[in-house]
Amino acid sequence: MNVDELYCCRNCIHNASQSLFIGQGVGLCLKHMSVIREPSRTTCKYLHRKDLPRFAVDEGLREHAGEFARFSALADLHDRTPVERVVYSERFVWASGAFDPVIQGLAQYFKAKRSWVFVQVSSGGLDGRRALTHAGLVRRYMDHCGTWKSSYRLVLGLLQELDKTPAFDADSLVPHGDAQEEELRAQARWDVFFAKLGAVQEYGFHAGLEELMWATDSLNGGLSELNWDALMEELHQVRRTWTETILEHARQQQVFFPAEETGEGEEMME
Amino acid sequence: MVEQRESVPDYFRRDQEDGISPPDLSKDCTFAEHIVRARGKRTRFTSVSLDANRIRDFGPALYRVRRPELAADQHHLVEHRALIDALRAAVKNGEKAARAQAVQALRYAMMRVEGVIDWRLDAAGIERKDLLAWAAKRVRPYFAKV
Repeated sequence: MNVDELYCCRNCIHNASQSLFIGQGVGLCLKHMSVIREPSRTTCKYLHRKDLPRFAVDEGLREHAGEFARFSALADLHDRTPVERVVYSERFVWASGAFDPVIQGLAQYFKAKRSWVFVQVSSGGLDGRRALTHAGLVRRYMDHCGTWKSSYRLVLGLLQELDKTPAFDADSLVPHGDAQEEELRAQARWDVFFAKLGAVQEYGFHAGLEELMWATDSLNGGLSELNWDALMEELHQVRRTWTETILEHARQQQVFFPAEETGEGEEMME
Repeated sequence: MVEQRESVPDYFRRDQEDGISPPDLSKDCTFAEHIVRARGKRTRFTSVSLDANRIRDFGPALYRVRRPELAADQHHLVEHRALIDALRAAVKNGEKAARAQAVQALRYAMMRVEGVIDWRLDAAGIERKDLLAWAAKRVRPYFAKV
C-alpha cells in the first residue's frame, strides 16, 4: 500500500462508496460533484479521512490542505497537477456499460429534498460496500452541519449496525499486491468498521461526549489483537451502552425526537 | 572453525527513481503517528518492508536497505516484530488519540510487514529550509536499487 494512499480520494468521506480495499473502478465525489477516474491517485485540499476520526489526524490533514491549496478542486496526488471535473451522466454509464447502482444512488444525493432522509434510507445493512457508503454519508452530513443535533438519529442508526459482519462480493474488493481474496475480504471488513467507528467518534466530538470521542478506549482484547470475532462480541455489549449514552444526552439537551418532527399521528391519516 | 554469519532478513522500500524520499528530522512523533500519517506524510522515521510485494504501489523504483552500513553508522532499524510489539503495547497501555492511532497503525504495519528506520543524524545547525535536502543526501547511501 502506498502511504500517500491514506491521503487519496479512496480514503475520503466525500467519496463515500470507496475505501482502500473497497470499490473498484471510478468513484464519485460529493464535494466537487465529480466522477473520480483514478481514486487512488486523486485528492484535494478538502480531504476528510475515512480511516480515523478527523481530530486524530488533524495535523496531517492541515498539512495536506496546505500542499494542495493552489488547486481549486481535484488534483493528482503524485504529479500535483489539476484533475478535470467529470459530471456524472446516467446516460453515459449505461451507454458505456459502466453502471454501478451505488454510484448511481450517490449521484441523486443533491436531488433529495432533505439530505438527512436520503442518508437515513441509505443504511447499509450487511452489504459491506453500502455500509461503508452509509458511514461516509453520515460523517459528511455531520461535518457539513457542524453540530450533533441534526445527526444523532443518523448515528443511532449507524450504531445499531456496528456489530454486524459486512459481506462483499469479489468485484467490490480492490486488489493489493499479492494479497489473496480472503485477506482482501478481511481488510475490507476493517475498512467498514473503522469508517463506522470514526462516525461514532466524530459524533462524540461534536456532542462533547468523551466516552464516544475516544470509543477505542472502551474496546479491549478484540481490537488490540485485531480479532474480528472477539471484537464483534465485545461490540454487541458496548454499542448498547453507547446507544444509551446518545439517547440520554439527547434527552438532557431536550432534543429527543420532538413530536412535531417524528410525524407521529400522520400515519393514521394516510 | 568456520565463522557463520547470522542471516538477517532484507528490508525493502519503494520510492522515486531518483532516490528515496528524505525523512523530516524536525518532525518528532510516535511510531503510530508515523504509520497512520497523523502528523503529515514525512516524519523523522522511514518506513521499510520485509515483503517487496506488499509495497508494490509505493513508487516506481524498488530499493533494498543496506543493513550492514546502517548498523555500522548506528542508525536503528526497528524490526517488524519489534514494531508490532511496540504498537500492541501502545494499544494496550495508551489512551485517547494515542490508542486510536495505534490500533489503525497496528493494522497497517501488519499488512505492509513494516519496519521503521530511526535515523541517528545530528542535524544541529542545519537551517529548517535546508533540512530535507540535507537529510536526503545522508540517507540515500543506505539504500541499493534492486
